[in-house]
Amino acid sequence: MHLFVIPALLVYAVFVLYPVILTLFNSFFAFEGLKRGAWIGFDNFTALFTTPPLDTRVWNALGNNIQIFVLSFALQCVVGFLVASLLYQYRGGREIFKAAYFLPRLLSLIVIGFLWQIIFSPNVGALNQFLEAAGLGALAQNWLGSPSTALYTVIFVEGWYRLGFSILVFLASMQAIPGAIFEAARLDGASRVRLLWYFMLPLTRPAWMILTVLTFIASFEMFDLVYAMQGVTGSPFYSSDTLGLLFYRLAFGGEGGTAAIGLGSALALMLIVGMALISGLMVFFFTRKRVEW
Amino acid sequence: MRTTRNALWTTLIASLVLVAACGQDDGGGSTATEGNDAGQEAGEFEDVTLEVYSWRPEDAEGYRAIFDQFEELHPGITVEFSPFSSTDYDQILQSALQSGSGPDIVQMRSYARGRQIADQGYLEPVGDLDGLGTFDDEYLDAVRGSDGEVYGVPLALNAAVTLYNVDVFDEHGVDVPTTWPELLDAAEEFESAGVTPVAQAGDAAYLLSLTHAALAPGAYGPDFIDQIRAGETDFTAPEFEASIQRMVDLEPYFPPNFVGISDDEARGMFAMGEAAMYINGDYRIAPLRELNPDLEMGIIPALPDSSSGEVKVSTWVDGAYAALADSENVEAARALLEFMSSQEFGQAFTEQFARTSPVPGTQAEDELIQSLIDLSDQGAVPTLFHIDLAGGQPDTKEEFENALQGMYVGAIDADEVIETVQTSAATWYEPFQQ
Repeated sequence: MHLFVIPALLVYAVFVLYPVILTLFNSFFAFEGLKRGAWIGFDNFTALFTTPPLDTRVWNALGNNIQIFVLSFALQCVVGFLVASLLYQYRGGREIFKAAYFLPRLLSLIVIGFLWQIIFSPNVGALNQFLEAAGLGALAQNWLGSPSTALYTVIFVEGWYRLGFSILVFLASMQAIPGAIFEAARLDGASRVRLLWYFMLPLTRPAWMILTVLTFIASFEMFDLVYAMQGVTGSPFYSSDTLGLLFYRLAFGGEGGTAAIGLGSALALMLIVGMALISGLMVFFFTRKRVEW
Repeated sequence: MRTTRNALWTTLIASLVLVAACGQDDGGGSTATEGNDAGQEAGEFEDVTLEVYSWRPEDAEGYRAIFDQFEELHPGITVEFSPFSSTDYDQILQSALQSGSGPDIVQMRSYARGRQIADQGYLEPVGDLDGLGTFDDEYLDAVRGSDGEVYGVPLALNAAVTLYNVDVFDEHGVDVPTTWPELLDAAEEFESAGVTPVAQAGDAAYLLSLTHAALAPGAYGPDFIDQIRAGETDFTAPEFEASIQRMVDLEPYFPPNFVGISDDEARGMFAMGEAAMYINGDYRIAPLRELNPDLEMGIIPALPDSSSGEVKVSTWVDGAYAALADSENVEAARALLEFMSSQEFGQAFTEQFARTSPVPGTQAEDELIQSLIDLSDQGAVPTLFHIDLAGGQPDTKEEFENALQGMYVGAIDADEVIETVQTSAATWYEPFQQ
């Protein structure tokens, strides 16, 4: 019976395992263009952290990825939880809101990046024009062209894209809680805030786990949206650079530069290992304490 | 149970080994073939089909017309044009080369990226083709391998230029500038008339090094480039500093928030007459005309500081065609390359695609293109960053353009831009290694 998994395993082996193993392997070699050269041990790894300006790029991108994760967590998980609990309590228009929040998820990230880029365009974009028209011209910004706002603007769009999914997961998790629990609490005189804090929050723990881990992975994998909106160097002046973009520039040569597959592979390998470790820790943290009902 | 599990593992391992065997062929192609009878008589080829890879799907129709001319000259040869999207091209080509399923002729990137392929031994040396004898040596450098051999026929020239909207200049009674101070004065006049002087975009950093390429040769001439190439000077020299100063001086005349706007938006502004000038590669002329077929444009070259100086144009080779060394039809491929280095091809190429050809003496019917050819004949200067400094890790050109972007958003100053370039080039650029 086990033989039935072979086709799926084969596909997995060819398209996932093989590239991962090859990447692991490549990260220990020198490369001349696309041609693999000599075995150089850990030189690619040390080069990433010791050769300027690569080292500053790696730390800068890592810092940005961490910011992306923290803010995405707030935007997707915390806001998602609050919106889901509102939808749970107020049935009116629930289906419409669910669909509306989820709708962006059906578009490709490249399309989304392109559309928001037009909206955020500083001189002719809809957002700044709206702000001007509403008498809030002082708030108008060069959203994507200023180092102080570019990263946060991209995080906002990412959150807008993924919020619907978090809402659905939280809502499903809330609906799975037996209604009797809430009823009993309400009879005991618990306020809505207390219900949310003492019942809803702990009882949706599995959903928090899934969404936190997914948000973490998505934040550290961040590539397509930022590529579509800010180009391959995370413009302006690397202010929205991510490890994903940096990997792409190293491995494929960015805007017409020469490829450094060894360095790219080393970075990719560290990303994979780092993400696996931290995701594992997160799962451990969330499953340490089980809440039963 | 155990047998089933063993069978599973065997299958998995076997498939992994198989995939590994297919994917890894680092051996490269054969290095050279014998017999360089490029001058074979027409009619010697029988039923040969040459496949040509290219990254220009939009040129398919034009090439058909050009290849028809070639097929008439060589009745035994049929040329098949196989274009791929430009962004995927390098990967497609590399896999085709590694698996040995490559075509006969490939469009080859110029300079460092083409050199990588040539150095792996996939390409046929073609330096002995008669037509190449007339090419400018500077252009042949675009297709040289590290061994100094010529591996391709340069196809087109790019030039970084300032385009101006003739109607906007006329309407505001502004004269076309002939020196750098005049250009700044003209920009000032447009600014006070409420017209954006220069439609510059800055969201993608490469646009900024292109603008530098269009302006810089006015601040430094071919002598400075020669000195850099000889390692006699470096980027801390006053000439380079002056070229960066031009980027600083022009900034007030760019659109507000230009670092946040895309080239599409800037191009639209210029095409619709909302801006007087637009700085980019000459290959933007065709898309501009598509946006506004009535747009009348002129070209401003890199301007000298005073009227006693000379005008110059930054040029670089954009791609080449090369023959694969292990192609079965290498002789026929050489015949096609010989044709591609001929005056006839250069002329047909210029007419079909409204681009400038590196074949000397080609003339364009299009006045604007012809004016560019004339300017290039007067003072073509190699585009330093696109040619010499597209290397290192990270790329010095990329470091430079991002530093310019950093300067425009106030993250670093002009001196730091210079320092970035010098530090980056010092790590790998050969003339600086002595």
